[in-house]
Amino acid sequence: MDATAAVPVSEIVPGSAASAADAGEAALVQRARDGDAAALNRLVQSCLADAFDVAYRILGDRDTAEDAVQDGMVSAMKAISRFRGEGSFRAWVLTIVANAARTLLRQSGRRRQVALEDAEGVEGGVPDYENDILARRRAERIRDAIAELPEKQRLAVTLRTYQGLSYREIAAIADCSEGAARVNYHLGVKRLKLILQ
Amino acid sequence: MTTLTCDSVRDLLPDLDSGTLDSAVDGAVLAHVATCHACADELELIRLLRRHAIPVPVGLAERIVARLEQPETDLEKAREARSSRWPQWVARVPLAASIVFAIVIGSLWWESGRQPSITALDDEATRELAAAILDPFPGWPSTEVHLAGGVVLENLTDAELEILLTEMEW
Repeated sequence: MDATAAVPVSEIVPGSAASAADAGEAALVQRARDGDAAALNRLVQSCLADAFDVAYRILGDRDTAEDAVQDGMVSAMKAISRFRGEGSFRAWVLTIVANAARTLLRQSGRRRQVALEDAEGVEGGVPDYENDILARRRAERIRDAIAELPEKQRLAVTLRTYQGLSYREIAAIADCSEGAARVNYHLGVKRLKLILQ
Repeated sequence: MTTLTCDSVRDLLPDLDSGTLDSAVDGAVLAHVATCHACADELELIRLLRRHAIPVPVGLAERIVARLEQPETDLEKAREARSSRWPQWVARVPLAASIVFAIVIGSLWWESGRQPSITALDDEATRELAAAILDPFPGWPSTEVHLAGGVVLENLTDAELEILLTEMEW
């Protein structure tokens, strides 16, 4: 059932607000281009969690994902002068990291497999073993469910949900059209609902 | 003005949960979610997913920064070292094995075609000694007969058979 509201939705681009909110990013990139090591470090820190998430979703292995993040981020930071500012810097870095992850995936020649030991809970709180076990199981279930999705759906869901990227940015990273990125996101969410029911 | 449909709301739910929507849009999406069970369910799913992000390995940022600070040559070496999860000597094992295999096969082939030539020896006594070493029992069937499984006993004399029987009784 559709509820309605008087909002000019045609002007709303999903994920665009996040990019606009990071207005200081362009200044940081410029400083890093000029050789400011502190600015470069801040850029690394700001992209790191998203980069690791993307690499892990592609590779399904923490060690290999770490290698991909290192390769991708070092390549990106060294080539920062080539960033043309057409999209967000974060999306540009994530595209490079995703490519590095796919390269490693091809080199290793192994299939994705999410290790259960990776599925540790991230929820904090006071030590409560019963709740910890439940939280851990829930985390495993969610990660297993995401791992069951086909790669494009998995990337679309995680890039949109965790990283808040626009469909255009997701399309660049997942190597598909913007429309396909949107469809993949919605198909992925629909499938997750079924798996997690 | 355009109506806010479920499709457009679902596109915006991740931005709603991350708090990156404009306040006007944020309010409209929340109002829609309050009256639409399907979108409310999807928002719950997105919140659930966002609570279970993948934790970043400790020290990864520092390792990246360290690599960025390395000179180019060191970087290349580090990349090469990491590109192979096996020690570098492991990559040379097939080559070494091929060389050893070739040497062994070559030696066997050379030995199989090589017959000791005592005629090449100058001294008569040395030739006799060599002949005795190479064939200590000239009248006995050669080892090739044994290997071929030929009838050996028929070639033995009575005396030789006696000796053989004695040895077998031992």
